[in-house]
Amino acid sequence: MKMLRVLDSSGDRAISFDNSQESAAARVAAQDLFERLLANGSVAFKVHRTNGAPDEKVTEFSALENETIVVPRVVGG
Amino acid sequence: MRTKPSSCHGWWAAEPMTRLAPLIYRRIGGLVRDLFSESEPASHVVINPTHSIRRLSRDRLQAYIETLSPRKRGLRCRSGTDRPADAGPTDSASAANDLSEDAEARARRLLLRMLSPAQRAQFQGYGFFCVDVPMRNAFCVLPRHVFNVLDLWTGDHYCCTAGAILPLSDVMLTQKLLLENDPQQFFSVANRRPAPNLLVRRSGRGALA
Repeated sequence: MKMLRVLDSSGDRAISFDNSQESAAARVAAQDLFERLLANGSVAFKVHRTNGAPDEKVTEFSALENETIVVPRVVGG
Repeated sequence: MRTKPSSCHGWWAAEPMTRLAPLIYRRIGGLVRDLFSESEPASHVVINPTHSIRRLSRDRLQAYIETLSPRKRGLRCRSGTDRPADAGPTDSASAANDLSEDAEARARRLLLRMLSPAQRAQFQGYGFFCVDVPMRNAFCVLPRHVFNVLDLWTGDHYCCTAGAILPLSDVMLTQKLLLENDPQQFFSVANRRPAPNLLVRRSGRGALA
């Protein structure tokens, strides 16, 4: 099971999906959201990776692992 | 009947204030009444030189009342008697506060889960945490919204926040993830505020070695 967390004003919004047929709709929705957010300037990071691998920036939906956090576009304050 | 004393050049100053005060109050009251009166006699326009000033003030006041922000309108509605009868015990403002508290609590839980054990101990003990940035110095992420990333070596402050409205813990998590995994993007958009140089003079007389 993979999880996509999108940071927003409510804290975060989580979408869970996997490669099974049952969660095909959730996977399509997650992919659509992921690509739309990245196109708008958001940045995604793979976190809590297997075998204790360090966090990593990700740009491809197919490369998502256990948990991914999408942060909004950042601006200079 | 009042007469001017021969020894006094300013006899108005000698007039007791207790007798002048009602006159002043009556005059001010008339000005305020005129300001809010809907209809004015035509003769008033002609003979009163301050008419245009008062009309301008009234128009500005009316424009201010009509352009109150929704927040002010809401406050006025809640404080007045025109509150809807079917409104529940919790109004929209308190619901918004509850929502923001829930969001902050949720964001804080996520941040605590994402921090390394050392960072988590720092954050729980002091409210901030430090991040080692590859090929750069160590940075401290402070619990505030602006200029909250502190370079521990130079003392400079950096401000790079999310373009959306996020709880503070989410902002700190965003900065941690960017600093650790994509520092180029962080420093390409962050604004830098140099450290206040209070002790060391860079040049001129009295420069410290």
